[in-house]
Amino acid sequence: MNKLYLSRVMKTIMFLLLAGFTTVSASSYSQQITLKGKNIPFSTVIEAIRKQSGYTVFGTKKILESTKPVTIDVKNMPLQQFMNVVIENQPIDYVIEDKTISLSSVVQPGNPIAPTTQQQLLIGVVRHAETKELLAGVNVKLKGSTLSTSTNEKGAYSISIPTSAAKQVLVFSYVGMKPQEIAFQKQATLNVEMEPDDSSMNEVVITGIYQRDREAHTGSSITYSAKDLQIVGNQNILQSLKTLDPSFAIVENNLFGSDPNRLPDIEIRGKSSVIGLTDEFSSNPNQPLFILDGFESTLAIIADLSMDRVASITLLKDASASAIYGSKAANGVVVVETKRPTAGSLRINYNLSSSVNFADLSDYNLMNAEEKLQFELLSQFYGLLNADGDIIVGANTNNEANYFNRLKEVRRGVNTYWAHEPLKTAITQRHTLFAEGGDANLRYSVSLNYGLTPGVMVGSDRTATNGNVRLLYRKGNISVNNTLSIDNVSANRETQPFSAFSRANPYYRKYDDQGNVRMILEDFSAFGNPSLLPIYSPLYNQSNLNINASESQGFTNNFEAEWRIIEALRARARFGIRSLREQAVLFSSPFNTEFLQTDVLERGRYDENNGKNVNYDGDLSLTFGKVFAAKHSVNAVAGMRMEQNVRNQSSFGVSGFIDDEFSNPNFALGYKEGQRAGYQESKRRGASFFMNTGYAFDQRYLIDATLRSDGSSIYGSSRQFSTIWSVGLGWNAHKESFLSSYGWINQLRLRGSIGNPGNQNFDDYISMRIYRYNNENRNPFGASTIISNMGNSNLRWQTTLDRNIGLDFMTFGNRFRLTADYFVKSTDPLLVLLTLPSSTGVARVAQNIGEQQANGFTLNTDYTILRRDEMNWRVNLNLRHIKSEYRKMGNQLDNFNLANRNRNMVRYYDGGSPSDLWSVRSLGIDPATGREIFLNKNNEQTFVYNYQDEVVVGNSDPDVDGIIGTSFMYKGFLASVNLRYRIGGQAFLKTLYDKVENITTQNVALNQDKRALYDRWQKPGDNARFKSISRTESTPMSSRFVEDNNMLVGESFSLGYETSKASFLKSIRASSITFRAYMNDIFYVSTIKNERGLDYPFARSVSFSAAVRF
Amino acid sequence: MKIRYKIFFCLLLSLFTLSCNKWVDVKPTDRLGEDQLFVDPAGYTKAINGVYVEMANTALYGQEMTTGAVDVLAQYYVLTSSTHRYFDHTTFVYTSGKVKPTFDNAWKKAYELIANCNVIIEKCGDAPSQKLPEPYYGIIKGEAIALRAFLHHAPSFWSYLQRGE
Repeated sequence: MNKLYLSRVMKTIMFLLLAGFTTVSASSYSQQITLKGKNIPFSTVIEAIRKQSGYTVFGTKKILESTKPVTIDVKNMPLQQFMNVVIENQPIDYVIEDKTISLSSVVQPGNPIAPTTQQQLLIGVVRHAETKELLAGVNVKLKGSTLSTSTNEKGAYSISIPTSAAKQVLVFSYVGMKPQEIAFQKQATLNVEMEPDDSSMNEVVITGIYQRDREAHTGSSITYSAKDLQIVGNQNILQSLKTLDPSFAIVENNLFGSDPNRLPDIEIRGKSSVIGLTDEFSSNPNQPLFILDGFESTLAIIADLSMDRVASITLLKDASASAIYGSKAANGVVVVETKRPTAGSLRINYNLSSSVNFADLSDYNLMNAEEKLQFELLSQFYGLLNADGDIIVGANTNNEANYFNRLKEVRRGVNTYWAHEPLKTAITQRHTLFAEGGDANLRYSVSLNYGLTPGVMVGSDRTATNGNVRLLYRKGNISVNNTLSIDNVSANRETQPFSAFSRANPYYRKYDDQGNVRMILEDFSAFGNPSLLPIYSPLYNQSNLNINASESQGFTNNFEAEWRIIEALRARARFGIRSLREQAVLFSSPFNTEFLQTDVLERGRYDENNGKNVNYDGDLSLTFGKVFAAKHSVNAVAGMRMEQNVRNQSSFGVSGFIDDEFSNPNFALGYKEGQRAGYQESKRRGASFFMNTGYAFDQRYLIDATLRSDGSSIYGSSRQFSTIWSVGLGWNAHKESFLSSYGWINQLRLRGSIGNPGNQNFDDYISMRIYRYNNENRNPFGASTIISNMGNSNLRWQTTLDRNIGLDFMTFGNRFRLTADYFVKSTDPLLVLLTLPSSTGVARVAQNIGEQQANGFTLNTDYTILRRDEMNWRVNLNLRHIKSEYRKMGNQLDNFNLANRNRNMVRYYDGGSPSDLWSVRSLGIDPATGREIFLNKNNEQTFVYNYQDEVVVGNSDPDVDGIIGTSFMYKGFLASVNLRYRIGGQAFLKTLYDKVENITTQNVALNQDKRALYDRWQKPGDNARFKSISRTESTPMSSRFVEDNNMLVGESFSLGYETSKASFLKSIRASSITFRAYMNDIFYVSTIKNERGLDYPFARSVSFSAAVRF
Repeated sequence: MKIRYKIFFCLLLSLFTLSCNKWVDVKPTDRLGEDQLFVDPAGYTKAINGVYVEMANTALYGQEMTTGAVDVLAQYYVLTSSTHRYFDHTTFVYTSGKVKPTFDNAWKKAYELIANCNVIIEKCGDAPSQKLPEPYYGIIKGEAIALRAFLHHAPSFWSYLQRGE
């Protein structure tokens, strides 16, 4: 009985499947219609056609209303014939294409509207080139006349074109699509496919909270499409943004180079906080706010985001644009929108990106073995030298033996290049699979991303995997949207910094005679001074098992519901959850050289750190937008937002490993003596209310105002809420009557704004007095608490007043475009963690000190030299100039100035800039004595160095910097070149300071820069750049180590080809394909020679990417 | 129908505004704000106990000021190895890089505890109150004042030594 039932079910399923397949394959016009009726309404005829042929029939209501009842009696008549019969006495015409029949109206003869001149009816259907979706509302216009129409909701149009001997051109235009001009060749049907236009993305400003037409927006912002980002680079979106926009700067970190596991320092329009104090804060106070699909996100998520998922990025730069984000907007806002699924049948995109990266060591100038030994000899490392420059034998036989042994090695040909040891050629890859589809009501997309980014150092890599499901449902006035994203990131870090290798001596061999790695390179035993620790081979530690790995898993779910209450009013509710779990493991092998002085039972270390971070945020908003009396356009949005962030972290550490075969903590003998478990917990909550209104009169005069009240738990209970406001004004001068007559001005907009965005990137509770439980010791009287943060109840939060004026100018048919902004940002008061004398009982306290003013301008311009049908040549230039100044500081920061004396050239004085370089002026090396000559405050020459003589000797910020480039497009090919330039500005030459002078006894055993040997002063009369080789004298920082830093970097070269029409596409069933090849950071030309990438080298990369759409 | 929705919406919004201040007020769990601590005698006791416990820190009476540096200076130990961490103490090299931190840390810790005492005394107020009734007021304020005096004396002990008395 069961078997029979089963087989019946299977047969039914098989039948249904087959039936389903067969219906799909029928595509010819051999449909037959049977219909009989007297005076039946035309709609019945249409129904019959639909039912019997399975075709879809399109027509407007007007067409239906214009029809007359039909009398018909046909049997199995072929469809086309049937159509001809049906329209015979009707004022309609039809077009059959694929499985759709489009009906259009035909002007009746004798109709009073009938034109006197001859006319030809043109009908057609307009579709989206990629999705084949029918486009409604496409404007169809006959060029040079007022004749125009638009497509109906089925994408069909019909237009009567007067016959004329002259050439007639039809213009098809639609928002977001490239306009098309097609010559009219007296055909009856013209179907058009429109392609999306990326440049029009800049017409709408997307802030993540509301959207505004750029024409009506007074703030300074710019939007880049995915294509703009992909043309300049394929590594990650932050790298591409820095090439595209001058105000988005990634601060080059000379220590950490191209380490894939380090987040970059980003600044939009310079710094708003005193940089020297960032190590005191848990988050970087100069970092902009990142918004992903309307929800707040973190820099780590954006840095790991696959470029292929991004649809557009908008940068909100000034107060008017970013004030809607209130206290987090002081440093600008980056709004990232990912691709939304478009309706249509299931489409699949696959993107592959890969790059080859190799380390850039072009700025390293280290000595070779022969040179190094010579240098050591001259610095009297092996003993005193006689007049001929030879060692005086007999004084210290150990040292001399060392010298002669090494000389033997060098003559034998030993010349080890250590720098290559930790490096490798890194091949990165990123795969993205994106599937989308849906109909008018429900659209979906699923994407999978996998990115593997090894670094150029061995043992360093980062792998990011992401899965994303997005559903959009729209019905009537309600639309609901849910995005679920699951991320997994794992990272491995190199165990030794690159500097350990770059400083190893070249005359040592890496391996001893048995082929094992040597452990000690230099042991100073000949000196008899036990405080000089030996120098170990970096290769030795690398050959042990060392782990420095971290992993994180997280998911994000963002839900959004929108209700269009009336046409002009919309309500929206959003709720997002973000959860992240992280583990970090650090294992040091017991055989590492760092444990040589430690007890055998305590060698080796294992540290584990686990963290959990859960973030909730929700907001409600109402948006209103309406045009009154055709002249007054009003836009308003109001809402509120609440968020909560809970973070906890626990850690433990064990030691006492006997072997490094396993890094399992179970193999450790015990916890480190006196060490306690680590645990940290913190909860942060915020609530805010915001309102933004915009009014435009006749699209010419604009005014925008924003008000936001932000409350956060970090402010402490006395002052929880702070108010942020901004006002912007704009003038669309090109719409004025006196200017619109000048056809060559396409756009001329002046805008200005003022506002006070706040900065919330400070540690929790720094203004509150906080007690902690001091559990390190106990007494029998119970719990005990002690002050951990003295706090400052008078602390006022940093407020920034941001003023901006800008100009947007486009002319010559949009061939020349210019956007210029001038801004003045005053931060008052600055928040500084001040060190106090120890007699106050407090080491540091947060205080309000002084103020900072930054002013600058940015310029973004491009000019299209050549614009033809399928050819386009454009040059672009962007420029940035920023200058900051401290004020009202007095001498309150003298402690920092004192502490920085021998560390760097940063000082805090009134009128000084955060990027000024302060030092004593130097006139060079005296040829007679070999000593340095300084200039004191009275401009007198002296040999004596005194900190009181410090003046500004340079500025590490350039006068101008930016990108200059060009791009050329021909048919499907696109080539682009972008070079970064930097003019003006100086730099402190750390390499010269550390590796040419200031070489102590212990450092002589490390490799140095070649210039230490060659450019030295040796005898009276020498005009040398550096002092004589000496181990005991330390050289203070002076202007001798400051030089002009002008540079040109080959930041991005790319060549690409894309096509959606090539013949081979059909054979692989793809609808479009794109290839692109890149070279990034391929050359670096600078006026100074200063080592770059000290602990992790910078990298040059050659990459390519391919994208296929099915 | 539409009006009903609008009213409902407004009510929802107002609900949120009421609870906002409370929402943003977050009390940390592994730490105490001073307003959370000084609310009852138990809190004051914890604070004063904190000073006692911290005095047993190795920089103060836990080591250096009792059996550590002070005893070494008093020549209670015979140290011969020049690399021993107390060698410079025993030979009175006050400028050495090993000796200076001992003094610095002792001073810093003592001043830190004096600052703690000052806060307790300030929080005690001038008279017994609701949150700190007798006998606690007398005990706690008295102990805080005494500790403050004692802590002043101890570091000044060092300065006698440095002046060679």
